[in-house]
Formats: sequence, structure tokens, C-alpha cells
Amino acid sequence: MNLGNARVDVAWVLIALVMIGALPLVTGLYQYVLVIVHFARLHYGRCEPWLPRTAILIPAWNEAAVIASSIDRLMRLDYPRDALRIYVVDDASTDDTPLVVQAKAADYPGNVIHLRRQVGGEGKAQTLNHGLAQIMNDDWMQALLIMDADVIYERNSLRAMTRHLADPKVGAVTGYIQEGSRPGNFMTRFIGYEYITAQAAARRAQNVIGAVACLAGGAQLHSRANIEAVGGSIDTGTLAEDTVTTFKTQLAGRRVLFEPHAKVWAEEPGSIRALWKQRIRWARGNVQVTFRFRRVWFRPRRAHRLGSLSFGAIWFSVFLLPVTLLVASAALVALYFTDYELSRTAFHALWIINVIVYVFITGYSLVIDWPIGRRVWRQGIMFPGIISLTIMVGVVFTGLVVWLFRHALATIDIGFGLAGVHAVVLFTYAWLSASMGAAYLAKMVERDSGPGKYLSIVLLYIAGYGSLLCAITLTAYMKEFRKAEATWEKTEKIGNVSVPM
Amino acid sequence: MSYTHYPAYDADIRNAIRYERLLAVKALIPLAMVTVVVVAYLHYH
Repeated sequence: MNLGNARVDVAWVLIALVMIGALPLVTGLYQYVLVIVHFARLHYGRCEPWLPRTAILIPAWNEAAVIASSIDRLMRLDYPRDALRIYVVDDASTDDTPLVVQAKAADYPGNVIHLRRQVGGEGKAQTLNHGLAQIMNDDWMQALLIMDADVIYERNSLRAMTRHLADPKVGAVTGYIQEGSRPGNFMTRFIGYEYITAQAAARRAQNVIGAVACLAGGAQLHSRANIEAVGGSIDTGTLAEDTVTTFKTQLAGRRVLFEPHAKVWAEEPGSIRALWKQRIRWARGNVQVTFRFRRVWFRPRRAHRLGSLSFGAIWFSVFLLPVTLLVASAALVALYFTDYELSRTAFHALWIINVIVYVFITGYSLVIDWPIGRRVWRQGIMFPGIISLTIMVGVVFTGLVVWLFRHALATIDIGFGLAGVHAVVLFTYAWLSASMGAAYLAKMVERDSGPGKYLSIVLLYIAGYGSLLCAITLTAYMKEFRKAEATWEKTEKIGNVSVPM
Repeated sequence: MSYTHYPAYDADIRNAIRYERLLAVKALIPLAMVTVVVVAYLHYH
């Protein structure tokens, strides 16, 4: 056997593995290219000014702080009041939720209905089904809006969604959830930016593809025919009931649409630990959905677009993102010991792709929704974290950075030998993986006050919010594969959503 | 299915279409940013 050839082959395999890390980046860029052509795939030509009798279903567990204002805002929608019924399913709340809802039922007789489950805590899907059974009992309901208790609708949002249901081919419509906590903090602003990318941009791209990944839990409108077609109830077998409903709708041959001009505002987690708890549930749900619909992926069908190459690539680029990062950085480190020069080339190629995608996505995200963007632009820029940003600057301005680095070291008279240079190189190679560890550390050290609070924020900015999301997904994989107990834990809401009128 | 033609309907649709068209034009902004970065890369690398 020729050892020289074998060594070259190994090096090329490692380069291929490094470039796996570029796949989610390219897919991300592809989504944003689809956003550009969204104007050519609009559904407005098939819309009509339809205002169906709409049942609004709100699951509520200890929502006394937020439910009253949500109901008041729903009653002020630009929508005929006699075409609205709000069903609040109180999941055996232990706070004042029943009293608050009953008071609202008295304020708005015939519009607000309080339903109470005597035994609660089984999960959101079970709570929704309790209300759904009641709603489906008669034929009053023509459309069903499922929302969360803390979500605040802009006045024209519901009618912006119902107009699409005039097309019988449309089964469901989802609105644009925006982060509405005011004054908010570093975490809510990161989420605010994330929602521009994950909703305003990604869901426009999904409109273009013709397959939507998930109806937002806080704003999903279904036609009656669609609810009947998916079995008249919400799936209770996973932690991602919204996604399952979305898939079942499309598999039944109905379209799901994202309406970016139906804006709703939600209160999102204000700490790393709260975000972690919420997103672990979402990520585990996505693992369950990925396996449950395993016969759908990459199998194109006439009836729906879930099996298209585009949709599969987008789904798996998010689902497998932490794995691709681990593989890419492990391959870079292995290449470092196999062929140093090639490792530098591969590293450079990977990160220059990263820079181009980062600049385009960040710049476009901020202009896609500038009213939000101008509030969260700092978090948008800091999304990859300080170290990744430093690497990007180093990749683009290599000569300049090396020159500055040498002069700085010479000025302060610190020797930085070859060993130091190689330590820095290895660190940057491993950073794609290590950033997830740093993000996990940020969660571990977080406290409500004192040094832990500030240390966690510093660590988050160093590691990046993107790495935090990857660390959560990775943890969710592990929990799912060892069949850890799955509990439905509600995110605490305090009612600090402020909505522009 | 009976439709209720409310006054703002046409304006809502018109504004939404205009916004989406404008979004395509706004893609020139990030495109310009990427161009600047690539030029800087070619110059300083």
C-alpha cells in the first residue's frame, strides 16, 4: 500500500468533512435568496374579503397576568364582533385565571366562554382538545384561531389571515410573531432578531417553496374543513403539536401559508435558563417530528411540497446544524495534524463562506423588518459571538490583522513564539464546537443576580446566541435518544408586552 | 361563502404587495455590503 496516496486520500476526506460545515450556511443563504422572489409568489390574487365566524381557542394555565389584556385586544380587532367567540380553556389554573376570564365573559357576553379542566398539566395539546371538542359540537365555527394567552394581535391581523381561507385549497394560515417585551433585555432582543430570521425571512422562503414547516403556536388559523380533515383534534403524541398539525394539513393536500402582514406580539423568555427550557421542548419536538414523518423527506409528491429537495435541505440544515459544526471542527483539527497547509486552506474557505453568508443575512434581516431591526441590530451583529466575529475579521483582513498583532506584541514586549501561533490556530479550528460548550457554560453560571448574572451575559456574547441555540439542539438530541422524561413546562409570562397601535 | 367587502380590504392588499416588492429591491443593501467585504478581502488579504 502506498502510504503517501493514503495520506492524500485521508486529507481530501477531511476537507470534504470540513465543508459539511458550509452546507447549513449555503442553505441559509438560499432561503434569503427565496425571500427576494417572494413578491412573485404571493397568494393575494386568490384572496377575498372573507370574515368567517371565528372561534378563538386559548389554552391557559395560570395566565392571570396576561389573559385580560389579550381578550380586550381581541375584542378591539377590526373584525365583526358577532363573528368572534373566544374559548379560554383553563387548564386547572391555581391563580386568578378563572376569576379574570369569568369577569371578561361578563364584560363580553356571548363572546367569551370560560372552559375549565378539573385536572390539568397534561400538556397544551390535551388542553386544546378540551376546547376543540366543545367548538366542534355545533356548526357555528367556520374558522379556528389557535393562540397563546399572552399573544397580542394588531387590529387588522385576523382579517389579514382570514382573507386567505377564501381559497378552499388553503387549510391554514400562520401570522408573524414578533417579540414584544418592553423594555426587554439582552435576551428578548436576541429573540427579537432571531424571529426576523426564523419567521419573517424563513417563512417567506417556505411560502415560495410551497411548504411551511410550522404554524406558529401563537397565531394559527384553520378552516373548519381543515380541522375536520386532520381528525378534529390536535395530536398529543409529540412535544411539537403545532408542527404535526402543519404537516398533517399539507399531507392532506391543503396549503399552509405564512401571512407576514398579520402581526402579533408575544412575550418571550428573558433569561438563558428560561429560553433553554422552552427551546429544549421545541427541539425535542422537532426530533420526534423528523422521525415520525421519516417517509416524507426527499420524496417529491404532487399533493404537497414537504418532500421537495428544497424543503428537506432547509429542514435538515437546521435539524443537523450542531452535528455539522462538530464534524467540521473535528475534521479541521484532524487535518491540522495530517496536512497543516491544507487545513489552513480549508479553514479559510469555510470561514470566508461564513463571512459572506453572515453579512448578507444580517444586512437583509435588518431591512426585512426595520421597525424591529433598529431595536435589535446590536444583537443581530453579535449573533455569532465575539470570537466568531474576531475570526471573521481575521479571515477578511488577514494581512492587516497579522501586522497589527505583531506590532501590538512588539510594543508591549511580549514574545509569541511558534507554539503560541499554533495554539491560536488550533483554538480557532475547534471554536465551532467549543462555542457550544461556552454557551452551555453561560447557562450553567446564570443566576438571577450577582456575578453569575453578568458572567452569563458576557459568556453569551462571547459564544454567540447562535451557538446557544445549537447547544440546546444538541442537548435535545441527547435527551430524546436516552428517552428522558418529556414534560410540558410552561414559559412564565408577566404581561410586559407593549404593542404599537 | 359570502364575502364582506370592508373598506380597507383593497388598500390592505395593495400595501402588502407593495411591501413585498420593495423587499426585493432592498436586497440590494446586503448585496452591496457583501460586495464591500469581498473587495476588502481581495485588497487586504
